[in-house]
Amino acid sequence: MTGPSFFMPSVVRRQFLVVVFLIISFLSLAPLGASPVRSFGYGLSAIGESGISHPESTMGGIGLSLAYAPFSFPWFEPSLKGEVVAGNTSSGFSLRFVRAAMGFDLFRTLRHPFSVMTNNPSAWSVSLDIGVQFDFDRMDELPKLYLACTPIKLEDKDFWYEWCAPYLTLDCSDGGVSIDSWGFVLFRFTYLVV
Amino acid sequence: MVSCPDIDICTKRKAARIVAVCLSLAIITVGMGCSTTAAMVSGPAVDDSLTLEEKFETLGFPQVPVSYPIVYSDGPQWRDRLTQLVDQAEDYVILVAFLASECEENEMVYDAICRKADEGVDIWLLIDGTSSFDMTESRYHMRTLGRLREHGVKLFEYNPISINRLVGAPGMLFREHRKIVVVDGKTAVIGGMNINYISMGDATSSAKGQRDMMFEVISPQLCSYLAKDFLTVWNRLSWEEIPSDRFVSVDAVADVPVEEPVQAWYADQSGAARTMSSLYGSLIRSAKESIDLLPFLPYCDSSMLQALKDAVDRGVEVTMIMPFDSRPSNRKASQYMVSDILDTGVDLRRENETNEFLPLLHEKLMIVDGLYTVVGSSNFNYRSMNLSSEVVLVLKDERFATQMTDHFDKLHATTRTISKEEAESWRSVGSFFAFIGGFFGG
Repeated sequence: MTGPSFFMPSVVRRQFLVVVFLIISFLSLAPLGASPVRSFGYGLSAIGESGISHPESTMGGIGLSLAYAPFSFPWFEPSLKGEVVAGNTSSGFSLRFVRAAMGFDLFRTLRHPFSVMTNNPSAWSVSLDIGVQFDFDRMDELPKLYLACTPIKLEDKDFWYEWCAPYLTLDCSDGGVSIDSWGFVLFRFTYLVV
Repeated sequence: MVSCPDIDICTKRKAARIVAVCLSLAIITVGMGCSTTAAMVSGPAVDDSLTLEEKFETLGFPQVPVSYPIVYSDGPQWRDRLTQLVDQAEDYVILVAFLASECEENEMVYDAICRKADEGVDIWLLIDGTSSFDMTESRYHMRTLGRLREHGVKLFEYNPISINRLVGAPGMLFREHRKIVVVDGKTAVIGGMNINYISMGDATSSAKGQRDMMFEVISPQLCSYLAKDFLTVWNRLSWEEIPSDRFVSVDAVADVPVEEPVQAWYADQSGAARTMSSLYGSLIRSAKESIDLLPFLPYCDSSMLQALKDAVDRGVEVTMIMPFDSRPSNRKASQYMVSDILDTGVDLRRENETNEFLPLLHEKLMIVDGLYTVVGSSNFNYRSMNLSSEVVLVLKDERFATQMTDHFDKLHATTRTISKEEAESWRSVGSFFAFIGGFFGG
């Protein structure tokens, strides 16, 4: 491969462009002017993943993420997330995958049993994510469908604290659906900068 | 196009580089992006075609009438007055403090807060997240404030320090340093005292307290501004939001008379605002005769030094008194700065050394031309200009300036000059690292 193909086959490139289009569309929904809540931030996570179709990709690693949540809805608050993960596999430490996902916080409540976990009164929500995951070792393949559930997401207005979030990646190529891998985000701490 | 024999390795390296560069840029931008004191030596602050009051107007510092300030310079005296103020509250109390913790010596304040909250008075207490890490004498006496929430007090820690927030390290540089009391929209108190042991303990005994001041005024106008700015900050931080119409608006109290008013200007530096540099820059630039300054920790950057030097070059007598800090490491840190300040021509003095415990001089004060007096939470240092929320009041009143000058002169009598040779001897490598910590840490 020698051309400026962004190291992706054309079918993946098209999907990538669709994701970019969706992101731009989402950004255009953001309220103009000063928002009372911080909406953009970055995070750090600890992740463990077990490869099903490719057991050699089983890894433990860390992730760096970006998040954008321009709204402050008490129900079904949407957000955009991107994350790049580096991890340790049997073949050593390397960049493993990158994901882009749309998240939905199903609800937000200040009355919850996890208040002892934060200094200030925090909000609890359960979050569902759906997106795509590109594996750096398998860039010639179609991206995997990424599904995650975060049962404990505590929110300050400037921080998200996510704990014990299981996820699945599904291989939807060849007309069928099979589990490609599953994993856990042990924690993800996101600092909302602006 | 560069040919790459191993497409995977090439991709990974490129991605890793992009991630590293983006992350570095993000951290630098967030950490230092808003950090500058340039407004002290540029813009309206140094526009000589404007009078000082025109500069304040241009810079957006509102003028507020306040009553002649009552000064509290004794910890227990202020503790008793704060207890009384809280006890007298009928509608609401706003409290903001850098360090707040309960101890035997100040539990009467927190008892009053709980009592009034039980009675239905709205009480908000905003404290800095470093309160739990108070490394002053308070650490031997402090108790948590958990009981306040049980009584319905709205308590919020600004920027708490905990492991799971370390990812926000650049943001952790920003601290809530204001000390504010607002009661029922009528009485306002600002200054340098915290609500902890060291501020409210007895500074004159072996209690190892510190010397500090609080300034109480009656002013619905000032209270309205303080409440408005507090609401903005609070709602940006807390899910327990305050309704936007909870406090009387600035316009509604604009014409309320204040008995024997003193002309004053209010400056709040909270959130992303960076107002202290331009405020202090305006005052220094407009000085014609004298500037008396209690900076607390005078960690100055080049703009601050330039502003001072320009004033000295214009013939202004600038006198600065540094505290003698009984803590050797803190003393070394601030001593490192002395040589640079001496180079500006400022008459820099330090309190006389003593082997006895000397209560730390925590006061912040600036008197310009015997007319303008700056009081509040702001130190004259880089951190207060950039990295902390601060609140100050500039009072234009000869009588008050004279009262504060008398106080300054009493301190001056217990100081000595510092020679350039001595200052140079303090600039060791070990002191440099303490200085860096002090410069950004305050």
